[in-house]
Amino acid sequence: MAGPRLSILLGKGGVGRTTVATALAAGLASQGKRVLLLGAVSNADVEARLRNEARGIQLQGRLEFREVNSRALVDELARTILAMGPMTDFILKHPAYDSMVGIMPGVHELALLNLLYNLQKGNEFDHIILDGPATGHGLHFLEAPEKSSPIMAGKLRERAEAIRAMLQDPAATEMIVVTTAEEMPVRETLELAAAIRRGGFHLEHVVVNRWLPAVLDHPGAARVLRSLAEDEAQRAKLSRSIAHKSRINVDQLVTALTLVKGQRDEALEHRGTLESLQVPLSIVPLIPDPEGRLMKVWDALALKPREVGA
Amino acid sequence: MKLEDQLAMKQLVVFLGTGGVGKTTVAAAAAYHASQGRKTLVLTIDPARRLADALGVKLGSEPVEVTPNFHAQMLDTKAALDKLITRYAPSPEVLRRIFASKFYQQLSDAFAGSEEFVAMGTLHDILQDGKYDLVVVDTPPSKHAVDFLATNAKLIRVFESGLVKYLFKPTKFLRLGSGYLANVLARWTSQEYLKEVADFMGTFDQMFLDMEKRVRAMQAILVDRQRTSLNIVTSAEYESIPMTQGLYNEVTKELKLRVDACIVNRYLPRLKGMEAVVDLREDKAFRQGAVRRVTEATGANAEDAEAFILDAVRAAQFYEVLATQHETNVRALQASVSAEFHFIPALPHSVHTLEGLRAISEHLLGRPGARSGSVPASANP
Repeated sequence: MAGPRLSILLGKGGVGRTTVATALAAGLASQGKRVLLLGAVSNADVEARLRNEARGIQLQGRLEFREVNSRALVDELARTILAMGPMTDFILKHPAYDSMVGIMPGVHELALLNLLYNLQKGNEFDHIILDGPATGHGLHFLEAPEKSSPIMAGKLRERAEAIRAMLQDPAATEMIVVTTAEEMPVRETLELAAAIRRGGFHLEHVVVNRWLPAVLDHPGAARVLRSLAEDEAQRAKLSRSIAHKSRINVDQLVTALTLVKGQRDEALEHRGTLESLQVPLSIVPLIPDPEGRLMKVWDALALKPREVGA
Repeated sequence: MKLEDQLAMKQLVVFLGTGGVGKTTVAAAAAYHASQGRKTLVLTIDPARRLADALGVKLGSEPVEVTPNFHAQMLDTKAALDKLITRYAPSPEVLRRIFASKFYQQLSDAFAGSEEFVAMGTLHDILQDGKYDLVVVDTPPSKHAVDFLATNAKLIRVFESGLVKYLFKPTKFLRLGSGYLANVLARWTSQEYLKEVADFMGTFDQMFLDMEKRVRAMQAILVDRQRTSLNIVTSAEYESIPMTQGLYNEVTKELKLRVDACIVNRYLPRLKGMEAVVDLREDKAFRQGAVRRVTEATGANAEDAEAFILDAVRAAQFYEVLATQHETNVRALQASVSAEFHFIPALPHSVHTLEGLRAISEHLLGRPGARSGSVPASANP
């Protein structure tokens, strides 16, 4: 395969997509790869924190962050296509152009894809990771070249078709969907997976982030918890019996355990749904402690030697 | 301003937030609470299917009354655009031509991806009709969380650039067919497509004039603090904090709007006596005693009770770690976000029933009628 490999990470907002993308980038760089991490959604606060986390990692290779400046990319695309010398500047500065760029459908997506295309033709990196837009926008992002191609002409159309070919080539591009084992993210993952396949793209992997540890799976333990949760008299009896020995608060303990158990059960159910996709799953545990988090996430990503499940 | 007061006094209460924080549920719960005293509509964009079922809303449907005074409407961007076009089309023949054109298909596809444009228009019409005392809005899952608020400003820029006025003189636009500009445009797009655009725009210049009026009116409502309040919903997760701080900064510094309240959803409060449970890990004798006590209290057999104690210790430890993190994260957020803070504790199951909404609204606002502290005793770090 010529040129760098392109990984596009998609998934609903709030599932930790940016963290997974950064962990993937840092992990590959720690193994000696030259990696570029591109952020499609720029948020200075998030980026600063992740840069900081990645700084502590020993890199054999190289890790570069680049924030995607959507507007500059659109201008770049316009320059490539217009190629009208001084007239180009006149057009780019015109208020009408300016306001159109703010609302024109698909143009930002196409401009970002154009950047990926140029990078993929280059030799500066081994691996390019795009922390992509959230699901709804992710779909439009992938469909942008196809949707816009029929209405475009000339060079722009040729470019859109070349971009589409790159995205559909499994040797060049892989799609990774990040989710958590919760209702809405899983639903969006299914929609996204269907759209990825429909569009002829390659869904490489699904990452299940923030996975809860296996607690309260024992059926006997679950029975005792249910019995305590449902019967106030039992809780009161246990409280009395334990009160002189310990500061354990039975009511609060049962509240916490019921919460953890309920979330665990829902997560297991949702994981079952994800398994029906028949795509390799990486299970990344919930890591509350920020210290060394990125490398822990990287270790949990089964993206290196591929394997299914936890 | 506290959420409770907003719901009692404002006409429009907006919930902003980065993705995945439970904005939809919080908006619905707040609207449910308000409906105890005022005729309320929640305009929801993308509810979980079971929540939508619980609210009885269907895509593209008109508002439904869920319980007395509590109305819900789900936004369908494609349907809303079709409706708008149908209203302004001069004849069925033109309408048919528009719907069949590539330009319109692309336009509506694009609109399906930018709910904020259509949400703003729908919201304007709802407020204009004045059927409700209060409208609660769950904002779309935008690329940037502030896109919803920035929508009007973007559109106003388009109108002010003169682009619209130029394009909507059909004669001028059609003359492009052979001119210099047409040659330039032809590098981007096909002649056939340009004709479709001209057709569409020529037909709808009245629509765009109306749209400009609506956009300006909506912007005026959004910035009117007498009528409108803004809230941010967040989770207490590590990843959410910088995202919420970023959102807050954009709203307050760039858009120069004020954030009234910040709602921390799915919060894990520190609970009493959890360290004592975790300590059981080190104390085998006491752990055995605990197994016996559980057996006595619940009538469970010794094996089940032992499994319970072992799992309880691990789960309690896990809970403690998370709750401590939440406390730290929220403290960082409170240091940089100046707004009223509300907390909704995490629940064991996702919320998709009216009962669940009621529970959320009681956590958030107390029982209707009784003014109560919504903050769990240990939740306010």
